Amino acid sequence: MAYPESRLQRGYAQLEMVQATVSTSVSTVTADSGTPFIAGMVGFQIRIDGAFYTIASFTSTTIVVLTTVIGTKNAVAAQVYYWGVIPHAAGVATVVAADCFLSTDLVLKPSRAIAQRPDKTGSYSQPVPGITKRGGTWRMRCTLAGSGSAGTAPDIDPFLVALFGKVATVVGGASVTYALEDGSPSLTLWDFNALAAADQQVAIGCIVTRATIEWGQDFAFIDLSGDAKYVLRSSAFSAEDATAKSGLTAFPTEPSTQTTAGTSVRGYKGTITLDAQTYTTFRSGRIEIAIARELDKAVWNSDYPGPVAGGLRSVSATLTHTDDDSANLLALKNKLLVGTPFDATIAIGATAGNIWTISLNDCIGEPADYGNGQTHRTADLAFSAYPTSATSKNEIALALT
Amino acid sequence: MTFRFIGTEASIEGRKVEKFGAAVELSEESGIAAIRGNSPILPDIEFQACAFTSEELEEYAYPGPRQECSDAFGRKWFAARLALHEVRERLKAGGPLVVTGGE
Repeated sequence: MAYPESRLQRGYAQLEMVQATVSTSVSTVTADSGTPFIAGMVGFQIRIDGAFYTIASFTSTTIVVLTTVIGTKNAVAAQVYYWGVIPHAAGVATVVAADCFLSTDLVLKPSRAIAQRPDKTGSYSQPVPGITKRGGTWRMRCTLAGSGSAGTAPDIDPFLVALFGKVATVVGGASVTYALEDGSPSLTLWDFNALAAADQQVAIGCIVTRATIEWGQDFAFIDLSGDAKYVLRSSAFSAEDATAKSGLTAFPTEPSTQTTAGTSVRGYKGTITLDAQTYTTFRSGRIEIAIARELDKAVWNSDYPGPVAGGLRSVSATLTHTDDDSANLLALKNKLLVGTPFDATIAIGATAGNIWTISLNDCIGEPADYGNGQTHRTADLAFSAYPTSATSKNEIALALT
Repeated sequence: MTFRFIGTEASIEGRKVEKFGAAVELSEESGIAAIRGNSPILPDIEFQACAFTSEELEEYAYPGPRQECSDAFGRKWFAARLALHEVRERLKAGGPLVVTGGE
């Protein structure tokens, strides 16, 4: 008998997405390679030119979107987000070395409701309960680590796509920018332990409902979490139903090698700009993105949840600052007091290819709190970000340069 | 097949790479998977086209010196990153890893 070691855990992330192209017949969308659209795929969201469209029907290679809906689109790139199916080819998982990411915590947890039969039995003993609805949750924490090459996405790109709602915009050689969209791409997350015979896990149909970015210490961290359709375990694979297997015919072994890129960003380096003034006296900070996405828990004839429904976003930030008597900071605190919106830009990191710039628009918050627990008084700022217009989705964006 | 590293640090198929321009030997299939998976490596032919000198590769092998690099190196460095972007986009569109010259 051997013991799986916690340190030997490795995570792999795959977007549940197919890159496709709108054909010249303007009503069909063809996968760029292979025959990826398979029976059982549900929750299709198709994004063409920045907008999401309804799918009329699909075959293994093409999706039909009504011409009357999408209008004239010729040879335009599209992303097809499906949900709750493990990326695979003929039942064999397609997870590869380059899907690997490094994390400090990766927790996948299956859930199933144990429901007590409510009928009276004529005694005070209760009958054996039954298992009803299934589901899962997941969370992941890692240091921020860019690819090290501007214009190349980081290892955690799938998480950020699922968080922001669409694929990043890449400017070749220069930047990768994640901006908000109302889509809800999902992930397949693998949790392999190097002890191959140990129980291995995969969470299917993972959606991101919360993310926090923290800085100010040696390293900056990102925490992400959300719900999953289910968490499938290798030890139980043969006993699971087809919905739990999510397209697989066998539970895969871990890729024999791993490929990861980048170094952890230093959490105490960067540039913080509030209301167009750059400050060098911030101590630490935290940004939280909460999105009320949820999986449909009331699916007829199914023990499992259904595809994701979107929900309202909220973006908030807290920053701890060494207080001073500068006119700029006094003006900023006054804006917080009277509720005048301001913009914020927080750039974490100072090495090209590993600079994470978070832009927050129209920030409104609480009056600054003063902390007197340290040598110098601190001014603790807490605010939320909002879009610049009623129809915008730009309360937050993240650019890697 | 030879690829060249243009990032800061990476583990590619279990092999640690730290030096800019370091050679990474991979099968074509592995290289394609790595590039599509956002590894900062370029096919050697694309890297050679950027015309880095051996002196530049020595001086700017690590991230620190690259923060204040010469304009000449900066232009080549950007060209390498842009070439990687173009290779990745080509692969995503179902194209080849390397485009051979015209006939």
